[in-house]
Amino acid sequence: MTTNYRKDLVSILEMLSNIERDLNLANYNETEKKIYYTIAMLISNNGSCNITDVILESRFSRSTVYKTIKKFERANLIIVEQSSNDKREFNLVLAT
Amino acid sequence: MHKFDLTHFIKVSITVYIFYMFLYGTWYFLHIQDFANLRLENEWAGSFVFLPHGARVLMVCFFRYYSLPALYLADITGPSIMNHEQYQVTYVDGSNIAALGCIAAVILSVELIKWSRVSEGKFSFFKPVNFKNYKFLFLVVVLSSLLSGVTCNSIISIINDQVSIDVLTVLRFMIGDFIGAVTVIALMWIVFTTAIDNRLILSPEK
Repeated sequence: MTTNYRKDLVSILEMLSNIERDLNLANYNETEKKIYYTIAMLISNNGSCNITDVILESRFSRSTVYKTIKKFERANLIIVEQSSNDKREFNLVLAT
Repeated sequence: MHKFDLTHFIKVSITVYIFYMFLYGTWYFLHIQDFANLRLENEWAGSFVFLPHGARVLMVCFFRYYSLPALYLADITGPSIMNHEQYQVTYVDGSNIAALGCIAAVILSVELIKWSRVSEGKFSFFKPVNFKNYKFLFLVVVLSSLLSGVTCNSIISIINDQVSIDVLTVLRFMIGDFIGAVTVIALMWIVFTTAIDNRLILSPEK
């Protein structure tokens, strides 16, 4: 049985959760944040980054990485560019 | 008829007392230590961010009338426990009654929100308001800060004939209570999001 005390504490958490939702900072889940950090880290270390690098480094499935990159692209967080060396490969650039 | 729950009352009282004293202790420590190295000559500068008002608002809003005894106890024992020597020197007659005025300001603000039909149906002192919508909480912060500044200073002024309080002091109390309460809510939000990100707690939405 849920006690009144617990209900009151959960209400405080729900209030904080509502602030978070309205400020729109919780749009991305942990996996998406990790993929973004991986892209940023690879670009910082290697100067460039493609989708295969992100899959290998983050160890998430190809479909998860693709879906997340599409989401970032729609939000104008990253730009997907075709590689000049290999037309089958796409490089990721952080949008500024 | 509202049934009194003793176990709930004890749990709430302990939580309220610890939370208030934690905020009072943090505020007092920062205020005295002058971490920002501002070297302010006016020792009252700390009252521009009076964190304990955040405890008053949050506890009354979420734990309702169960929180009042512990809140008052913390309000009157806080200054004495944190620095007894300074408390004896700076104590002003009527401070304990003024603390009642500050809590009354929060209660009045909550009841005003209820009265304005935020909670549906007939008005009742025992009817809880849903403060999950933080905008109502923000409204309580604004109203209670304004009322608290007036009630607290008026009580001290009425009780002490030799103490005269100017308008700027009242304004400082209002601003301090408002910024203090908003700071507490903002800090709680930062702790909450960090805990969610690190999976220390589950988001209530999940």
